[in-house]
Amino acid sequence: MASESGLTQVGSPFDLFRVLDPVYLDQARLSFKKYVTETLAANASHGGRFSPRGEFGALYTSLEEETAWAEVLHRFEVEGIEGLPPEMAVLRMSAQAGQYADVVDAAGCQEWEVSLSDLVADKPDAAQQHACWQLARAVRTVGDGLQCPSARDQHTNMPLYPDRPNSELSLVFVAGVKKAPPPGFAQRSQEQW
Amino acid sequence: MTTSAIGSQLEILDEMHDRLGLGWADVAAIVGVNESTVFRWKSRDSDPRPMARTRLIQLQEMMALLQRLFAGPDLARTWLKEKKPRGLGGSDTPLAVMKAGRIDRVLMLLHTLARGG
Repeated sequence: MASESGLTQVGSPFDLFRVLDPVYLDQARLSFKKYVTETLAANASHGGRFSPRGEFGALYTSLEEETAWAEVLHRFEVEGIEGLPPEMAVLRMSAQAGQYADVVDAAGCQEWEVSLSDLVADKPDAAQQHACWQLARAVRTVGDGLQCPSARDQHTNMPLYPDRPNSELSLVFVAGVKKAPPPGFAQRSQEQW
Repeated sequence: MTTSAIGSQLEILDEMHDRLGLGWADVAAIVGVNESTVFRWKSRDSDPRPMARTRLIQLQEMMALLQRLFAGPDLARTWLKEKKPRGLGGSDTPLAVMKAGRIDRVLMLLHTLARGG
């Protein structure tokens, strides 16, 4: 339950997922802190729905593995790449402490003065993107991330701000496994490297 | 730098041309020289200077990333020549960005995707 600050404490630890290239899974395995730090820096330079370009980065995670696949597929598509490479990897992390804004439902959105439709717009227009960035700026001031609905499916994403000042987030590497993309997600090539 | 090391670096030029289907003029522009300079390097009549060698190293890194992120060279070729990624501003192809001297921007985008976005 959210406190008066509008934030929810991480109670029992829960899992979070990202899909990535196996080389970076190896990096995360060797030094999770380095992986997170460098990923935040890379994300800050390009920006994202909850990370205004050039201001700060977010570590985008999902509460379900299938959502993480859908999100990375979308990320590739936005950059002009249809489908995912033959081999990817699933990184499983555990959120063990911290506090976050829960804007998964209408009540949470009302609390944070944001429209649910802005959060789930498949291709957000300028006003919707502005609303998401305003939410991100506010949440990052006081919290370690937010739980929000995925624009890709019916599940939940959790962008995190582990480098914010006074972060209380405890995020640990749990496991990583190399995997082929789900059926229908893989690229189709006519040539071999 | 040894002759063999430079020769190894120059192999990326043939890979860009043969596997990714880039014309020699494009390859030369990416490295920041003219075509005749590329041919002098290939025939070992001259060697790349430090700035060009840096770009050759960046191209080697990019080729490795392309091989991880694309199932085949046809897909990488199409992306480089025809797509306009949002992460590069949405108005230029990766090839155009590289020809403008910013291989680093294309590399950064590919690394970001490899990290999972």
